[in-house]
Amino acid sequence: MSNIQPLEYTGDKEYQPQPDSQNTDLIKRRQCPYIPSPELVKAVNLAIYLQRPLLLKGEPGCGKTLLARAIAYEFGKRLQLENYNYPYFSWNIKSTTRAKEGLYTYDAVGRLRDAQLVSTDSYKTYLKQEEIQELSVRLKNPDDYITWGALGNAFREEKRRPILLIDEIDKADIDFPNDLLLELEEQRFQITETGEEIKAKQPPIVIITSNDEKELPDAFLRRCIFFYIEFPSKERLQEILEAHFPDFSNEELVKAAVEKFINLRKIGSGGKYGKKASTSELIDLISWLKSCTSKEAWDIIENLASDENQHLLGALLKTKEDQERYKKEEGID
Amino acid sequence: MTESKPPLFDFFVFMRDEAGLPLTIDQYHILLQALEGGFGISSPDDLKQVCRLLWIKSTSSAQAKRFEEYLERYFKDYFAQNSQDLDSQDSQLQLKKENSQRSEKETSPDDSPEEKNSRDRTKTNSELGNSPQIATAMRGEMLPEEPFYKGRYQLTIQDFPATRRQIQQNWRYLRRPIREGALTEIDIEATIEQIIADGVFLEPVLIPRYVNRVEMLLLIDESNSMVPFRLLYEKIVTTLQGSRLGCSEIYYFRNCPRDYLYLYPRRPDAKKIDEILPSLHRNRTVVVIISDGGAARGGINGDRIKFTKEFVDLFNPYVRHLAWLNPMPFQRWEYTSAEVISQFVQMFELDRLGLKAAMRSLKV
Repeated sequence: MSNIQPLEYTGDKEYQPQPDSQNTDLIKRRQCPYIPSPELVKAVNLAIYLQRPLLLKGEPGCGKTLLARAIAYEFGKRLQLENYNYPYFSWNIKSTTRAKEGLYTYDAVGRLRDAQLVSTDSYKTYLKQEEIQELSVRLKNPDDYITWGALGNAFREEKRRPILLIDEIDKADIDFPNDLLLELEEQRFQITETGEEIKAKQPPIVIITSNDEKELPDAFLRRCIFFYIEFPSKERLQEILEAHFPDFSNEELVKAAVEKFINLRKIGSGGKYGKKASTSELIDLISWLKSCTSKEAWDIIENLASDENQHLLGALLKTKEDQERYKKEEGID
Repeated sequence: MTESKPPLFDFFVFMRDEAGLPLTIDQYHILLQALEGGFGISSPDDLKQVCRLLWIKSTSSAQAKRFEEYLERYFKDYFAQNSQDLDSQDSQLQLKKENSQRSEKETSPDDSPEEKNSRDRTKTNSELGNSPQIATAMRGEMLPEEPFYKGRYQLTIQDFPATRRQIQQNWRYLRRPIREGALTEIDIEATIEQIIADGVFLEPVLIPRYVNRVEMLLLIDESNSMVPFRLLYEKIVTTLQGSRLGCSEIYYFRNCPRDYLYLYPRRPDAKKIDEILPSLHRNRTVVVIISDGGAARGGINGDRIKFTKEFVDLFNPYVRHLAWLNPMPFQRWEYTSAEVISQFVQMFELDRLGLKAAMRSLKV
């Protein structure tokens, strides 16, 4: 605990990655500009300072998952790390995920196999020399059978406070969050197989996202800092687009597209329950417009509801009912 | 004395007791910790946001609404009181400014944090605690007498005798694990036996994994006396559909089940009881009946009791267990048909404890 650096997230433009279609590394890491609201920045900093997990909720597509990566990128850039590689771990939860998998998995069967193998002698005939060497090294060191999970890796990070993303925690079993309480709070766990205790060398910065499919237990909620990511305002949307498409100069067009999009979001989202088109859909729309000529793009914006733009509408509104409602409303206008 | 009161404790107590938020002392401590870190001291809005982040865990719930309402009220009263005395407000701002400057200074990187923390804590406590402005807010005479919605009845989700999560948890007590299906798990013991027998490890012994084979038959009374409980049993139905029971079926009836069970509430599609019976399993099927058993209306109805008895006797040999959940409180069963019915069926009140007890009885 004695060498924690003060960390502060700003979300400033100077720390944003430049979108670059040539840079495959950025695309692979899904690195893109992220423009947080000031409230979100404050929430992140509070979570960092208090060493509590930050629980993010919000509409699908509003950027819950990308935030953690954006923080990691900013820290990497600010600290001038090589390749901006700030320690970042992500743990994508599935319905079958168990809490222990995030810590480590122990290959007990592999160890048993190895131990049996060396006692037979015949293994020398069909294993290469290097493989035999590897085998004996492995057998002498029980730790070699451990595969670390995201949380285990984060705890082992020595130099900097790692950023840990636990994505879509609501997908797992309803008791899953409770199983993580001890590890997240005391920042340590024990490897049952070797008896070794792993203690976090640097308190991780934990970002948790949830789509609210299941209710989270109270005991877990109590320990989190909760933030709901609202749909951005018109001004912020434009800011976000500017960051994503810095070389897309047609400001008028972007403005018109945003207007159109906000209207579409209002009309085309199936009452209370439908999925609303969110920021990520808007970015999809703009990247399509970018590939068109200016005239084509204007044409698309003006006739978004028409049949020849059906394919685009499908990228924005995800049910047939929503699409039909939108077409009807737009037709009247 | 007010001097010994910790900062914003009054606010914490107000939000806890007046607004009824489920706050624990731990959440008060974390607020203090945040204040020490320089969060929430630059402006009242800043403080409000920090409280929101730390104390509120969802945006849509009634709790969040109440939180906002009481938060606004607290600060309105607080500033109304303070503006009476401009001098005190000035010094208050002064104090806030000093605080933020101090914390900015103190979070400088060369400070060892542990040392800093302990120093910070003592300082903030004494400084904030000594400030007379916070003490004036603590008297709280300006509070309105009662919240605006008193006297008007509102049904909120918290008024239900069991929350969704509690119901969900209870379904999980019902387990009858049976190994079935593909070979996916390693039987360690058998594998070791095998190694001993063969003298060498050839392959692990695999066995199928456990699956839950409890089958649930949920029978819901759809009569008029059950109307007030509809929201509650609908919640039970939805949680049951998401639970991991081997199989669950839901039927509806009116007053007492006879001959037919209905597939939907308020629709005539029905299934003959004789057809349902063979699909039940003596060891796996548990039956849960949700009905007031005549307790809502009161009085003893001989026919109702007779038909119910016949139904229970008919089902009992085909199922593992049968339990009755009554949404009426236990005290209201007295001198009604429900009391008589509870003599021959295990009847539980439909609340958190009753649900738990019912599940325990079903497990046997």
